[in-house]
Amino acid sequence: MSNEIDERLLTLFAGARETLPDAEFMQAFLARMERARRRQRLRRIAVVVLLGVLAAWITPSILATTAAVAHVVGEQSRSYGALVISPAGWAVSMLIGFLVLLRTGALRRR
Amino acid sequence: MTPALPGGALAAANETTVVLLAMNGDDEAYGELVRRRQGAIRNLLRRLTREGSLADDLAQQTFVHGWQSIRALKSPGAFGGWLRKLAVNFWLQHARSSRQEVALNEDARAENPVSSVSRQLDLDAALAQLPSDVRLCIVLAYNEGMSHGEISHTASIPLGTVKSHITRGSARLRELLQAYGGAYVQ
Repeated sequence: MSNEIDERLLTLFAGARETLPDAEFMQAFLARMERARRRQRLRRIAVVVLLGVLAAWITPSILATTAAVAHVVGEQSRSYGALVISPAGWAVSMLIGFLVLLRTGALRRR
Repeated sequence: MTPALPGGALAAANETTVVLLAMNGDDEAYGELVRRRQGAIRNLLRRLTREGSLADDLAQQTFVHGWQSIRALKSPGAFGGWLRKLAVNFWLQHARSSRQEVALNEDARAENPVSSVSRQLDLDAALAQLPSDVRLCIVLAYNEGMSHGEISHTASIPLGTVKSHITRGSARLRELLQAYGGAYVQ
């Protein structure tokens, strides 16, 4: 509290403070709180419904895209698989394995 | 999670406990806080608005907003000040939205101050003669017993402005109350 406060004004303000009946106020407040609660509940339901609609709307396109990507990856891996089991692929993979062993020093004598 | 108190114990519980319960979603505890604080908030808003029904309406808006956002409260001990700030914000919002109307009323009072002054020996009538931001500072200082710093924080007004509002506002209020010839002169 500041020192510049006028004591007489302070007394006047203290005297003007009323004891207000609370029953009616509390009743009105509780009714208002109930309305706010109902609004909040409706808002939550609306958000859930909106998310559901959104999911239903975008899920087919997400699934279609995922299927297309999976198909492309499957096709690619099948051709890589065929390459690896061919004689040329076998020779290349043996060569790569040999280079890796050489690089790591696994073939060096101790 | 704070456990709920048995029936009747809420009224006897200290405020920190009740605030903690309310922060955990206990609506009965929040109702108890409203019961305890409604008098102070309604009195504060009555000094600011000078209209009982408007003050009660703003007080209810304050308490409903408080119920919706009590989880954002930083500490239970800050509940009183936080609620007062909410009430002041609701009043400021209302004052801003009806600024034109207020300005018109203030012009009318300035044209003929004696007729309205001589009508009532009333602190609220004298307060109503002050510009709204000055009135806010005066009410927070005298009605709520707040320091200049607290007023500055609550009303979001620079400290220097708060000081000058209180000095000038107190002088103007004394003048008006002396013109009433009532309680202040005796």
